[in-house]
Amino acid sequence: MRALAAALLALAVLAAPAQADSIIVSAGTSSFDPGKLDVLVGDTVIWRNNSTKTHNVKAETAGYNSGRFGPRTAVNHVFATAGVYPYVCTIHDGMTGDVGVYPLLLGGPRRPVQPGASVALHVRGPESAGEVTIEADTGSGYQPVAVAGPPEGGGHDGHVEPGTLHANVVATQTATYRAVSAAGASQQLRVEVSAGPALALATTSRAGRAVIDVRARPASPRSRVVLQLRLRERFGWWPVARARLDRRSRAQFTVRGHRGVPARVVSVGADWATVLSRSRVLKLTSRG
Amino acid sequence: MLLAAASATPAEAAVRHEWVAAVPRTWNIVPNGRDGIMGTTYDPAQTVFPTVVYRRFTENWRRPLRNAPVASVDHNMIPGPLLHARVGDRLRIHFKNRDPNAPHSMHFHGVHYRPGSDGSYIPGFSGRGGNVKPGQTFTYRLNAGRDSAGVWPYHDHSPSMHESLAGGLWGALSIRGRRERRPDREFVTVFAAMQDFQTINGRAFVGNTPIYRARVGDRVQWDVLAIGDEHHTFHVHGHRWRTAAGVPEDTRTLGPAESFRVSWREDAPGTWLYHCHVEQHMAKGMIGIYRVSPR
Repeated sequence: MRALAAALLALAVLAAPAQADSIIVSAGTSSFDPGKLDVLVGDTVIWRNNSTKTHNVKAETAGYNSGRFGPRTAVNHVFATAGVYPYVCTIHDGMTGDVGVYPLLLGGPRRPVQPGASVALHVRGPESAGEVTIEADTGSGYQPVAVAGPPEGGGHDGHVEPGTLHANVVATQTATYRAVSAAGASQQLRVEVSAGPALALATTSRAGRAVIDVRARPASPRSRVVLQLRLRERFGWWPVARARLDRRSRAQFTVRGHRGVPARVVSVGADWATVLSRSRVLKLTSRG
Repeated sequence: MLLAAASATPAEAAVRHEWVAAVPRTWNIVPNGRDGIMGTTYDPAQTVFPTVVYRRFTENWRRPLRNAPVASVDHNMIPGPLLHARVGDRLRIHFKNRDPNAPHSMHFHGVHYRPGSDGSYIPGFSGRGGNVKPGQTFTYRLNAGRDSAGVWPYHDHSPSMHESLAGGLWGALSIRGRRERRPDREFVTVFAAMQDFQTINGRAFVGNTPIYRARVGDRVQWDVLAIGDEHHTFHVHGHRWRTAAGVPEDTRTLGPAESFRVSWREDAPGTWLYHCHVEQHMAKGMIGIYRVSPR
């Protein structure tokens, strides 16, 4: 595939069996979190009841029925066979989830990456999986783009995590990835390539207010940018001001108060909400 | 707001002029992208939609204004302008339809008017006020009678009514008695289903829904309204109020287009929840926080 260039060419097989993992799902008042979960064959899923209500977990196609479990207790199940297993709490209508069980598990970035970025992917799987190929689909079907192998230099601090392989790919556009071996295919992993420019921030203080200067590269005049503050009472990132970049692809925001509050600028689409790219996070330093 | 007649004392009736337009707007129901209590995240594709809202303007729709003070509604646009009057006042609501795609109107609950100012569409009977075409204007002539004291909804009742009500083309009319004292804080709380969410003032989940604020000692008034097809139960944690019969309560039910106001002297500092107590509504976003600071 021309759009994606393989960066790692080492041929390898999984060197050691993957260690079975345990993944926790929180059972809330009326929902499971996360509702959808992907695990490796042999992994254990633990449902922990973090609500004040009694729940159960019934996964008919997995042949599992936990029975009732109360607040602050947990139940678990080992998924030994690949497949997708929907489950429900039969006590609470609409309280559902899915466990996807795969012979390989592919991990990668959860946030959009810049065009041309080198993206690190990692694969968990059993020794019997053999050679593992990374494939990508940008809309015209899967094509091999890399072969996963042990990390160069033995990984961080020279340590190789048993049963884990790595690959780097250069992402030029949004694609769906999967890992494939003789054992089968992993789940699909979508890596979004940001459609927005890189945003550089510079801050100064003027008359007790924080002034944030925004510069976009490549040039993106008239693009939409939004200043967000991470506010405790807003429970996350909150849009406080919006602007269009000028002819020099710059914008300026002035903020009064909020000393010490994390701030960032995002470029957004026409709806002023879909995030295309994000700046680094800085802390406001002015006194209000 | 312009007062054509002097209203220096509460006893003097006034003619109140308001300039309102229906304007297209892109609306985000969950700006922070998450349910802060359950941790569920939402993509803008699920929460952003095009709609039409009421917006307050200066005379002759020259310049847009805030629909209501930040302290009353938190954000702008939904609900529409918070309209105030006193019993005995006459209201002249000058409406302009700036939506190029559909007719709209304003239909008011709780006040007196002739059929021409009803603002609802009856083919062959209603006048222009029930079907204000794109770019056209109409002035509704209303009177606040002795039985008008309280809080009331207003909304589009044109042929576009059903889409408009689902999209937030509604607001609140707050009418006080002739000598009634103004509260220190007035909070407008409108329950309505919107897209796949249950919203308060068009927003869902804590942090997105209005953050109301008061200080200990403040006289606070909650204007509570429901729009849509469902019943809701208004509940504020850590507080109680009394019914007209003197019975204390902390939860009150209201159905489609019903409204009420409750008030109390604030004495409970802290951060409190307020929400609809229909649990499915609460889980779909009909919940917010109320912050009371010490005096």
